[in-house]
Amino acid sequence: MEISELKAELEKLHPASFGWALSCCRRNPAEAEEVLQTVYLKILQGKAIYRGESKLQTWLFAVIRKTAIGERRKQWLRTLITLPVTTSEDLGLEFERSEMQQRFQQALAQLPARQRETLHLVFYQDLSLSEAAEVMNISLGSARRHYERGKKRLRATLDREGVEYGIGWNRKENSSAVL
Amino acid sequence: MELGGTEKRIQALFSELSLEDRSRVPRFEELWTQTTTRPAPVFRRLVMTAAVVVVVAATSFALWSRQSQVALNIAPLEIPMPQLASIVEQARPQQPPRQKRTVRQRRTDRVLFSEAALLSRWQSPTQNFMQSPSSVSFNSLPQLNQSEKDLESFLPKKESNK
Repeated sequence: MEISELKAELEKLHPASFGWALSCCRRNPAEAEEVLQTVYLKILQGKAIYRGESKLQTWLFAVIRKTAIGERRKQWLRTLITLPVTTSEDLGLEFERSEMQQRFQQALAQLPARQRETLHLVFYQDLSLSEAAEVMNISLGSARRHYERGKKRLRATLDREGVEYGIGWNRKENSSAVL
Repeated sequence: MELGGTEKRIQALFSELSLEDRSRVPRFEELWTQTTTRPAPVFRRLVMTAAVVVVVAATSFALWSRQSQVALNIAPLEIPMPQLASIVEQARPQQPPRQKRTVRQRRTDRVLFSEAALLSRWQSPTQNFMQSPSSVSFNSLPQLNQSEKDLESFLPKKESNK
């Protein structure tokens, strides 16, 4: 694939890529931007090459995930030297967010990384379980297990927190009210 | 994928999250152009600096340890061991004497002999000043078993006028 063609495709996927980068970087927008920039640099330098063996989105998400893991390791080393500082921008965002959304994000943060990633890829990015498995470089069976466990755990946490969306979790559902 | 009640609710929460995220997505063009003019990250620079420091430290330590080894290298004490030498001499198989010396060795020997002869004949330039008319009497002393006449020769001569 030509670089101009690839650039156009990347631009289309850019919002979704940023969302995935945010999820991989524990909802830190600055870190997510840094990761995304590193990924684009890797593509430009030819360190990450798309060979057309899978969907471009799946390949790109796998690169983002791998880069984010690497960045997290570096971040951990940096914290040994300097203490992390919460910026005023983050605090402002916290106030803007609805209470329910905050609780949801807290519940998501409590999930193990694999479960959180599976849920994000399926519900946020609309990927199938096999595609999610490909991004995370795990088997379909493992992805399904993470998906089921994550869903169960998220629901339990939200129930405990009392988060409802439209209708209660335990009431008879009315799907048209939600979507 | 057919979604149940729980899934739909989770998806609704994720949709809201997605909307929130879309409001803070950085511009693609901006990110793409920054990529091309991006300086080396601080972390990479730190790692490189640390690596250079380690290499320099290792090199200087190696040099220092080498120098200290040279300084402590005292010559071993030589203990004369004649017995051992004689034992070794005896144990050594007797080789047939060499019949012929090489031409080169002969030449060096000849040069050495001639130099030794020259040195033995050397005289000081002030040697002549040491010679005097009475040098004979200084150089030779009378012996006890010499005859009277001979001894008289050592005495100063009397003037015949007296």
